[in-house]
Amino acid sequence: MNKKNALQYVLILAAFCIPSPARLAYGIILLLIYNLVTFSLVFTRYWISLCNIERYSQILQVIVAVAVTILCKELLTIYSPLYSLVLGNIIYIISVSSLFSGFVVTKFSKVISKRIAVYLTHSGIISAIAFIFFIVREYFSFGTFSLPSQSGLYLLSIPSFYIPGSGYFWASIPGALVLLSLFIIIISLISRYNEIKWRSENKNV
Amino acid sequence: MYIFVSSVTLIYGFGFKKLILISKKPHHIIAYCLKSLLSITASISLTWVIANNILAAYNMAEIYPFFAVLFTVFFSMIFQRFIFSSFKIDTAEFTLTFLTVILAVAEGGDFQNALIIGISSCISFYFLIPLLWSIRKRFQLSAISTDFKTGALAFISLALIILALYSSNVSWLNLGVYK
Repeated sequence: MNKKNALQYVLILAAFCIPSPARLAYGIILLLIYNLVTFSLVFTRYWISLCNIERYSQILQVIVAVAVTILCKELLTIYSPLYSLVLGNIIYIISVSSLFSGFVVTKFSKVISKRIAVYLTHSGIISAIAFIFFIVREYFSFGTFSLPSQSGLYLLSIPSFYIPGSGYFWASIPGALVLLSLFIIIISLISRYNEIKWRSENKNV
Repeated sequence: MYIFVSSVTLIYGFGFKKLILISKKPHHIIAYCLKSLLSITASISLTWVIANNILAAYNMAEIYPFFAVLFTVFFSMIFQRFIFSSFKIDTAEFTLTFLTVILAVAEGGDFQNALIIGISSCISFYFLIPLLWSIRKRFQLSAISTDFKTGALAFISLALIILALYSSNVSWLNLGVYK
């Protein structure tokens, strides 16, 4: 993962991480939908290349992404109307994010298994960063971890230094933006460190 | 006032990626804005009619985004071609238009309301471009670490703009308080 890719990953996850509520439970739901849409897009792209209709590739991908998102939203409404109500239009941002995450991958393989492996790696990285983001944001905001439950949120109280009311800034959109910028700086530092390490190792060889 | 107070870019994050990365000439941005406004107006009009007159009658209003995406793709392509043939400017853009149409149809109480939401959302995004571009330009000129230049300071600047604009109304802090 180079520095340019790292920034693209962060921008993709920023699309649905920033406006979402500062609860891990909502984050898990969003990540599940994101991975489902991404996975369906992998098969769509494969099917497009098989049928040799690359000319309509982008339009078909957009339609499939939105159709799968609508399906997910309906299933979510059946599971818990509260989640569907709170997440609202944020779910539709995922369909767009999934499309952009596909554009990060530039090398396409003709073999479906290799293609799935590449996409799973990319969506895995994005999901891992987003998961950490949601965990950190909820812990800073409310001092808890939450899991999805049909009737609302299943809260896990953990011992913390949290003072009630002190972390509400992190639950807001500006808080999410500041937290995300910290993530960008950390990722940038790690990728720069890796680059320097790789260069020094190659020099020695 | 609605344009600044209810900016979809600041509240929902629509078009964040474009806002952080865009670096176009002013007349290109005007062309983008014109194309987005035309596409949004046309798409909202048709989606609203379909959603309220046909889908709602069969209790299927939930699937209106499917029609929204079809109309958005159709009108975006038409107006993109029109602007390209007239001014030789490529205005390929989909994200902001699609998400604005979805939001306007979902939140609009009536047709006029939906159109106002759609148009003001679009204008609010294009008002932010010169503001953020000037901030980014200032960062480029200053001697700061390269790790901070990769979008991090742009995000912090956006956070400060939000705090400045919305300090009188912190209702967006309520997200996720339902247990």
